[in-house]
Amino acid sequence: MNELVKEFLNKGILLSPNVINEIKKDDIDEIISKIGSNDVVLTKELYNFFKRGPTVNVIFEYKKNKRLRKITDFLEFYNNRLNFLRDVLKEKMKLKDITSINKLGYGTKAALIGMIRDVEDNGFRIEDTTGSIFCLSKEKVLEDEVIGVKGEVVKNGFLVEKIYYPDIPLDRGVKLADEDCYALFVEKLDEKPSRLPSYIFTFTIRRDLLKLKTEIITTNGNAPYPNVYSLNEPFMVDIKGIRVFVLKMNWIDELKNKLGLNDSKSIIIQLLRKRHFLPYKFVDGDPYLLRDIPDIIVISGLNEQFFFNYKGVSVISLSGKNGYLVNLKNREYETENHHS
Amino acid sequence: MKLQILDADYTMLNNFPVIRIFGKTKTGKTYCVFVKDFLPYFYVNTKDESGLKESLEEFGSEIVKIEKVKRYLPFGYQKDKTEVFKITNRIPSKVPTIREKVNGDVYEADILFRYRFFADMGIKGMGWIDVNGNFVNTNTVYCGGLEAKEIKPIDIDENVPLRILSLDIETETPTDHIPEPKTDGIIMISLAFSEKYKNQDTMVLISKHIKNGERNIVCTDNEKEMLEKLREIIIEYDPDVITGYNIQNFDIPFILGRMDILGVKKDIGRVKNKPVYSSTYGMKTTTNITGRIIFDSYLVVRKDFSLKTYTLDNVAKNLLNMRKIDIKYKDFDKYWNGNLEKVRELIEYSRKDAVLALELMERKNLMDKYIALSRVSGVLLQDVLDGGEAVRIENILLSEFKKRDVLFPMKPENEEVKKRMNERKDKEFKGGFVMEPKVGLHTDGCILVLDFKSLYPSIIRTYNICPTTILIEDDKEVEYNQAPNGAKFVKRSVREGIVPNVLERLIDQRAVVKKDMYREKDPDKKRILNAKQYALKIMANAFYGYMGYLRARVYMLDIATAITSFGRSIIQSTRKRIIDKGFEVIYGDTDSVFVKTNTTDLEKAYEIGNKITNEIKLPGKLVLEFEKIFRSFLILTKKRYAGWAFEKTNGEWTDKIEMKGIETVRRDWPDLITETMNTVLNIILKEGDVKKAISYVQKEVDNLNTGNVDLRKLAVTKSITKNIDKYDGMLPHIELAKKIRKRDPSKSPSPGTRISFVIVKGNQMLSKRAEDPEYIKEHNLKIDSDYYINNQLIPPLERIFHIIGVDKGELIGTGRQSSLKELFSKGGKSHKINTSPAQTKIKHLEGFVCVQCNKTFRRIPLTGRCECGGEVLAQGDGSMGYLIESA
Repeated sequence: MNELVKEFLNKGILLSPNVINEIKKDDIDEIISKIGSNDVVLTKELYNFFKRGPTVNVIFEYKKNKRLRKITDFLEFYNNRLNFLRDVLKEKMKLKDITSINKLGYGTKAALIGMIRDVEDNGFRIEDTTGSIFCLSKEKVLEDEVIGVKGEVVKNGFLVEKIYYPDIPLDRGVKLADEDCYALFVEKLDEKPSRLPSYIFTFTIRRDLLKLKTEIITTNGNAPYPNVYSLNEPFMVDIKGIRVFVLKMNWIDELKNKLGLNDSKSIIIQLLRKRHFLPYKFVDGDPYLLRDIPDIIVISGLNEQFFFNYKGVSVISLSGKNGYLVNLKNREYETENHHS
Repeated sequence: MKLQILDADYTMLNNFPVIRIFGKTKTGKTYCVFVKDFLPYFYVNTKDESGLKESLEEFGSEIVKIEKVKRYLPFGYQKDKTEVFKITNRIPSKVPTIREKVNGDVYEADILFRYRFFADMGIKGMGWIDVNGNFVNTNTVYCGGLEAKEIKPIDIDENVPLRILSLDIETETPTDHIPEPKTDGIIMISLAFSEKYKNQDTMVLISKHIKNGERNIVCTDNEKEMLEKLREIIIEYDPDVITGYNIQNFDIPFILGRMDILGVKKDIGRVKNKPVYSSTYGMKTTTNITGRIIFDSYLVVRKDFSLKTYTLDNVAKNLLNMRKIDIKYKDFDKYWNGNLEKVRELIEYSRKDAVLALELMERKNLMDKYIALSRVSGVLLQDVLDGGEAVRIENILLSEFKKRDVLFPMKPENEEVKKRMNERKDKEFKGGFVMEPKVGLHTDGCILVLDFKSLYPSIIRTYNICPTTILIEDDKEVEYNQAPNGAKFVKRSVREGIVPNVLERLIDQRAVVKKDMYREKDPDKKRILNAKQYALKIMANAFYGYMGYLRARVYMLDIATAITSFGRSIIQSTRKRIIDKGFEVIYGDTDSVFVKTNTTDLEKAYEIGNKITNEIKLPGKLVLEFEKIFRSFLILTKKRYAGWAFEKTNGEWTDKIEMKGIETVRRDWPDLITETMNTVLNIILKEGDVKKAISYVQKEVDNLNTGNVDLRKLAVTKSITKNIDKYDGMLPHIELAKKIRKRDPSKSPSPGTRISFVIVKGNQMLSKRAEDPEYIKEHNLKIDSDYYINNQLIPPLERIFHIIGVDKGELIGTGRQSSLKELFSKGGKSHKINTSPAQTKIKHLEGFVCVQCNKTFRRIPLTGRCECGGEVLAQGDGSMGYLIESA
């Protein structure tokens, strides 16, 4: 038997005939370490894949922290969020004289930035590091989101004239790949797609499809294959310079209630304006805060199918077996309808 | 015919505007005066005449005239007028569109058409006019019509008797939300008339039939018919003023909302077929009823009187010595759907509300001040009620500018306002001079308070400060006054500024009116004169603030700064002169200095005060006055002091305790705190006996500890504004409401009720220990004396005592302070917690809580501390701690 074959066999890797002549000696250790302890048949395509290196970069992935938390952890958490979004808002509210809450005088017009502490029928309480004040406003906000307000101090609190949201800057431009490159987004993948894209994003995938010779980013289970990224949502990956943020949203009904909106698209747009998908829950690492603005957002759990663009961000909502095949060069898409 | 103007608007007739002025004669007849042949116009400053004419071509015949005229530009002293274009057009509402198309500087293109007319004719709101014209039989208004050939303003000091209608509605009472027009109907409408209507003083309209023989209860088939009847009555009774308590935010929008839904005509103004609309901006709703004035007593009482609460009941009690009838909101349903007797009780309850609102207006003469402001500023009464100072000042300036051929600037756009704000920031706008006080209790010498009478108006008049007198370009030939900030203003001999001139007239007029007032014997006339002098004073004092107001038309930072820079320099130089005379100045704030003498004798101090003010001569109109002596004076910080003040009037001394910036009246404080604060200040200031004051506090502390205190004095009362299950977080009065409901579901408090509570001792969070005073008495519960002592009583007292060197420990009596450490080290007297928070691990996080005052939070405050200064910890599983196990 070929020495090469033996070496790989010892590591549990079966070499496919068409690759035996391809493998360069220098690559052996690298390939073996990349494959790891997975049972794999190393084909030529897979080998080339390893040589090229992964083109999926994991920017972050949610990891639940099972540890004892201190009060200071909570303080840090909220203050970090406030500081980040405050800078964004300051940039946005450039020409306003931003006051801190403890300096507000009765009868004065002012602008302030703070985090929502409580929400009531006729307004909300906003807080910064110097104090809090009750704002009279009919606009619906979420607890713990960070906003800017402009208005006037009156007898019962702060009469809000305008609310500023951090939002996504207009001049961001649209991030595109240099050449044609397809990504398939589908919630449940249980049959081979007609055309094989460079990337597949899915939430549930039939096991045998994991062998597809393409980069698969999914949220379920073990990934024995090196081309498969099994990540805990919410997570953000970078593919060819394009950032994709993936999450499962099961709190849309709560948001419909809190925001008084019925349409999921409008709600998502509001969340993008707030730069946060779930401000009112404490989640380790604050992964739902959009520090880096993603280029594509993939959402499951809304039980709706849509694709829309907002200020250069493509928002894809997936439901069931219907997917979107997107060309990353121009963000054009086709729907992939699979028969059940 | 002589008429007093109540309201004005305009309408379009055959594509031309017709102004409608609603006025009333001395005999009480109402007329609408129609004025034709007056067209809107504005000015454009440009060198490009052909470009201007070109840009106006698209408006065709709408442009009536383009004339070349000579006017002064608004800002800066100019020797000569500039040639500008006056553009007259036909349609007032088109002016904004036309001005957008024009290139060049635009002036006076945003003046409301009715005020344009008023300014040109010299007419004022609530002023009198003499109209020459023909009576017309018009179908467009609900009063007599007069087509004017000639209108002249005339000076009559009287006010016509106004016909007032007071109204109050009762609506259906849902239990889970505050009533709103979309879902809930009106069940009755009460009316009270200032002049009898159909021989009745009051009337109640109800939306159903009851066995009824009385003429002042009007039954109808249903709500729609009732609203139609209301409309009928308004049109027939034809009130000049519609009043009520909180009608702008509730009753009127509700009525209009229901009229919309039920399809009842909303033309309840004096113009037929013109429906009335409400508009809401933020939390405020206003309605404009053409030809009538809406006077909301609630808004006025809130502005003009200082009370703990502004419920109709409390206001009536304090101002009229009358009370509302007592029917609880949650029982309305039972009364409305009950037997005849119960329905009639509800009717009387509602009727009384309308009566109280009318009594408030009439007996307290609430309108006097506003009518006076309307007459002085020229702004219509409704606009005075709904608007602010800027509107009034700008109306006076508009006509003064016009008289002198000076163009009046437009309201600044947002861009301009931003620029002004930045300019303010860059130039570090400084306000009045406030001296760092000599903090402490002064009893070893009388304190004289010397103030500059109307400092800023005096400065404006003395130095001729005005946008039309400020020197923008260097002009060596003209004589000027220079302000400490560098701004130059031409002297009065060169050109008298408009603002100084207006101020002079207002101030001189006020002096005359005051003299007349003192001489007047007739109480009604005296009252009107008092309102007039007061209005003149307010208007004069508002000019300075206006010129520094970012959204003012006539704003120049340099002017506002010049005025304050003069002010600062004058008060500082005066202070120096007083010190040079050998006296100590212990405090100064913008326009007053507090001088300490070395005598405790009032008469001697009085002499010294007069001597100082006579010896210190000031330029121009600036006057230093001496009016008040503090026999004892306690000053804590800048703008916070209390003193025993004495004033000499007609040779007699009168005294009172005066306080500034020291809280003794706070809405959510129990009476005990207010009383203790007042007593303590009285003892310290009047008796000078600090030890006695300390003992008094110690006694109150002891009384609290032994529970020997009147519960009513500890109670705090709050309203329930929605269904108690819809509240987030924990509030004491809501938790109590839930307890009350649990004890007796039939007594469940509903939205609108007010709950009084006292905090009792116990294990739980503060909010859960709120209890009804009656229940406390019945069940012999103990109040949480620690809370009342440490969180309510001591903090404000501490601020006062600290200044005189008494620390908190002395006040509590034994020098012992309750501290968290102590509680835990002694195992705590009443806390369930056995372990210290440092060790407790919270398994199920419920929220966060302040260790000092027990206030609860949904999430930790950003500073980690409560508003009371206490540390905030996590809470759950009945404990509090620093450590949380993740769920």
